[in-house]
Amino acid sequence: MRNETHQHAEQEALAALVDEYAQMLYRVAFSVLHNTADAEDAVQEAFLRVLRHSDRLHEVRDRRVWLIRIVWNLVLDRKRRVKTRAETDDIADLARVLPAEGLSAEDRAAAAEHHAQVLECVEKLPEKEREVLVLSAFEELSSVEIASILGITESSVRSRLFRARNLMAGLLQHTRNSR
Amino acid sequence: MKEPIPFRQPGKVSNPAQEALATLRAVAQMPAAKGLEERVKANLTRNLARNLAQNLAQKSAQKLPAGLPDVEAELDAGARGWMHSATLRGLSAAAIVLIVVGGGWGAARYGRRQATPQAVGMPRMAAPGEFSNSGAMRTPQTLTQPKVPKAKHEAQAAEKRSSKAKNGKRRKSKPTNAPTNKRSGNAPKDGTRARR
Repeated sequence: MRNETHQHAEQEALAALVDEYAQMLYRVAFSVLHNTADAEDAVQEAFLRVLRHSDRLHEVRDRRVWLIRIVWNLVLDRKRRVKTRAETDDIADLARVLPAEGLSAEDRAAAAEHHAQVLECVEKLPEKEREVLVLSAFEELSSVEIASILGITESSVRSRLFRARNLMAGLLQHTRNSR
Repeated sequence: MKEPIPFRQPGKVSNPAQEALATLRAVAQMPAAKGLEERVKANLTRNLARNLAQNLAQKSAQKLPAGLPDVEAELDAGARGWMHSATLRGLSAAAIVLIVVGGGWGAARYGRRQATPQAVGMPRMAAPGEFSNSGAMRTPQTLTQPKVPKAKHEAQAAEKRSSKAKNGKRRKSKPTNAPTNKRSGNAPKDGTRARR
């Protein structure tokens, strides 16, 4: 009886986690994978891992950072292992669906091209700098939280972000000059 | 969720890094397809039910009284191959042990008995048409005979006998005008004997 009650409580806690964090985890996964189906798979897998370790859920201090770290490791692993589609296809698709409200058709096309350029340059960045830059785009994450997700110090996050921005500026400038 | 960042023309923004960040923020704000939470919960429920069923099956298997083998499981394992059944594996191991121990005991029990000679071995006679050994027999190697030194007085007597015999022979064989063993005039003056 007590066991059943305990399980029921665990299920409720898990359902609450899904309601609260599923969307955010999806966005984190999507920002790396650039594909809706893959991002949703990663979220499903992340919550299955949480289910496997649900008995230790009460030990976790910051559940949001903990969940992001799980999904972050999953998506990085998936990106390294599975290369079924060409990255450029995903980027082009993504650039077309990015919000560009109140723009004419011509400006919309220019915006899509610009987004595609940026995303291609991001992919060219070194892994460490790219990771910090992608996570810094999530405004709800502080540098301390990014450091906790990546398992580095806060000062490392700042220095990597500085390098990433400089590199991005150089890459974008070079891309525009060459076109 | 926050409002999406409005797009600006690339040329109008001075800092390219800011442009990049704007794009990344736009990506980070992309909403998920509708019903994500429901799909995740449904998947979790399915997995939970499967885990519960597995746990129940394990518990029911553990409830069997100790010492009694699970007959159905054994039969099923036996059908898949004897290596899958713990009982059959145990039986085969016991059979191997019995064979090894029995063999060792048999060797110890009967192997020590010494064979008594039943007949005297004789050299084989060659059958007609075969090569014979021509009567050759193997002789065993003997020890070398020890040399015993002769007694002193016996040795002196034997020496005298031999010298007498030599002198007697010389007198008879030597001619009268044979040159003596004296020094001749041609002999070297330094005292050395002339060579014959």
